Amino acid sequence: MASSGVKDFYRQKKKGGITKTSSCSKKKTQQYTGGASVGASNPAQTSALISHGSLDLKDDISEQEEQLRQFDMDMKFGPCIGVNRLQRWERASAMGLQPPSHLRDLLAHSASMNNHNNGSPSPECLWEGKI
Amino acid sequence: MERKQADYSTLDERYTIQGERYQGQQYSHIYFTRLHHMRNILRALVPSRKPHLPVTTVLGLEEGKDCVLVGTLYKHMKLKPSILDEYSKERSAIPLVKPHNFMHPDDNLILEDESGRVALAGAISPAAYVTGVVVALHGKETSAGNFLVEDVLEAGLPPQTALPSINEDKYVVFVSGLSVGSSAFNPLQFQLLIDHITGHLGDENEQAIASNIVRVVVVGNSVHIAPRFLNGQTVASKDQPRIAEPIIELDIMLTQLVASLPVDIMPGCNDPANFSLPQQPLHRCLFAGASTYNTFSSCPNPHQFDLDNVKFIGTSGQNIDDLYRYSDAKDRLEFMERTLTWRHLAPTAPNSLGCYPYTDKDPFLIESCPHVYFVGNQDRYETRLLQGSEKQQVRLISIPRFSDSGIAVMLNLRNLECSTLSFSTNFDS
Repeated sequence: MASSGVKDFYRQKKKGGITKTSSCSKKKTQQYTGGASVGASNPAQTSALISHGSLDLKDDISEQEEQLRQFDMDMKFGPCIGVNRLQRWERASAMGLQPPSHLRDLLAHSASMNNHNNGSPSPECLWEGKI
Repeated sequence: MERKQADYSTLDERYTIQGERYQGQQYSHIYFTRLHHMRNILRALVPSRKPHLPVTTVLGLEEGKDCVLVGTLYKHMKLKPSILDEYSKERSAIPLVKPHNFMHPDDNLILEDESGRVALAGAISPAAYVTGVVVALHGKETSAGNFLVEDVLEAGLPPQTALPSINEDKYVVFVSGLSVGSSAFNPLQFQLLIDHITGHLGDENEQAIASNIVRVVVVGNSVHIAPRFLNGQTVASKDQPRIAEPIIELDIMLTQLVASLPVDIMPGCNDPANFSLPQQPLHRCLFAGASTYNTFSSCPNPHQFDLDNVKFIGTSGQNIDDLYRYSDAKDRLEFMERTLTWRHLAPTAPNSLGCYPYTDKDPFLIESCPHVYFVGNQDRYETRLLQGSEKQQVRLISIPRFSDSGIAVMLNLRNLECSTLSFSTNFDS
C-alpha cells in the first residue's frame, strides 16, 4: 500500500514538473471532449499521436526534433499550445523576436515532405495531443 | 433640400473573424501578444520619463534597488464570482453586498510577466485597475518580497492624426438600446426619431438640420427577445414566429431610415449575435427589407470607421460595463478615458469578458487615437472632450438606452460638438 502511494506521489510530481502546462491540461481536456465530434477527424491531431507513439517505441529523437523541442520550450517566443511550430515561428518573427532562421527551413522542409512518421520532425509542438 | 454626404470607410477588418480554425489554443496567446506589444511602447517611454532607471523582469528583481518593471496586472478579488464556488461543499461566507460590483477593500494587485509574478504595494490603487492592463511600474522590492510601487507609467493616449477641417455642419446620429419587442419600447417614440432624421417632421429650419445628418449608427441591443425563448429548450413551432417579431419590426423601421441615409447597425449583448467579443455583424438575412439598400451596413462590435477622415471607434457597452463591475470611477467617461490611456478597448477580456481566442494578435489594442469614442447602452447621456498630452482631442460619448430615455445623440463633425435629440410622447412631461 505504502509503496503504491509513493509511486502515485512521484508520478504526480513528474507530471506537474512544468506547472504552466499542467494547469492548462485540465482545461484543455475539457475543451477537447466538448468539441469531440468536431475534432475527431482532425488530421493534425492524429499525426501528432502517431509521432507520440513512435517516440515511445524508439525512445530516441533526431537532432532536428531536439532543436525544435528547445524552440518549443523557449518562453521568449510565447505559448506553444494551440499553434503549430511553423505558426509559432511566423508569429515570433512578425513580432521581431528573431527566432532561429534555420528552424523555419527545417519546418518548411518537413511540411513539404508531408510525412512525419519516419524520423522527420513533427509540425506540432511538443505538447500537442499529450495534455 | 438635399441631404449632405460624407466619405465613409470602414476599418472593421481587425474585428472580423474569418478562416480562423480552433486548434485547442487557450487565452495565454492573447496575453502574450498584448504584453509584447505594450512592452515595446512602455519601454520607449522609460528613458524620457524615468531616466537612469534599469528596466528589469520579475525574476531579475533585486531587493532595495530602484527599477522599472513592465508587466500585466492581475487583480486578486475576493468577491469575484467563480464557477468553482458552485461546486464547493461549503457555502460562501462572504455575502455579495453589491451585486453589480465585485470590489472589496481587500483586493490586491499582482504584476506578471513571462518570468514570474510579484505582489504589489505602495502607490498603486487597486480600485482603478483591472486584470489585463499592461503598465510599467517604478519601485523596488521589499524584504517581504513585495514590490513597493513609487510611480505608475501608463502608455497614455495613442498618437492621433490631425482633425480634418470641415467647414460645414454635418451630423452623425447615435442611437442605442432600442429594445424593440420589450415592454419599455415605445414604437411612436422611435417613429418620431425616424421621421425627424428623414425630414418628415418639423418646419423648414428643422428639416434643414435633418438634411445635415449624414449617418445613423445603431449601437447595439436593438431587439429584445423574451427570456422564455432563450432558456435552451426547443421552441414550440407556434412560438417560432413570435421570436422573429421584434426583428421584423426593427427591419420595417430601419427600412424607412436606410431609404434616406446610410445606417450602421452594431450587435449588442441582447442581439442575436455571438456572445464573445468581437461580436460579428448581424446577418443580412435578419433584415429582409433594409438589406436590399446599399446604405445599410451591418457592422461588428467594436466598430471602427472614418467619416470624412474623422476617426470613430465604439462599442455596444460591454467593455465599460465590465470595468464598472470590477473597478471604480466617478463616471462612465472616466472608464472610457482609462481604456484609451491603457490603449486597450477591453482589458478585462478574456478574464471576465468573453473573447475569441486569438493566437497571433490582440484586436482590442488601440493603435491610433480616435477623434470620437462612443459607448452604447449606458444609463445616461454624458460627454466630454478629452485632451491628451500630445494635443490629442477625443470626444467621449456615453449613449443612453433609447427605450428608457428617448434620447439619441447627435455629433457635429465640424467641431465634434455633441447634442441630444430627445423625444417624448407624453403631453405632461
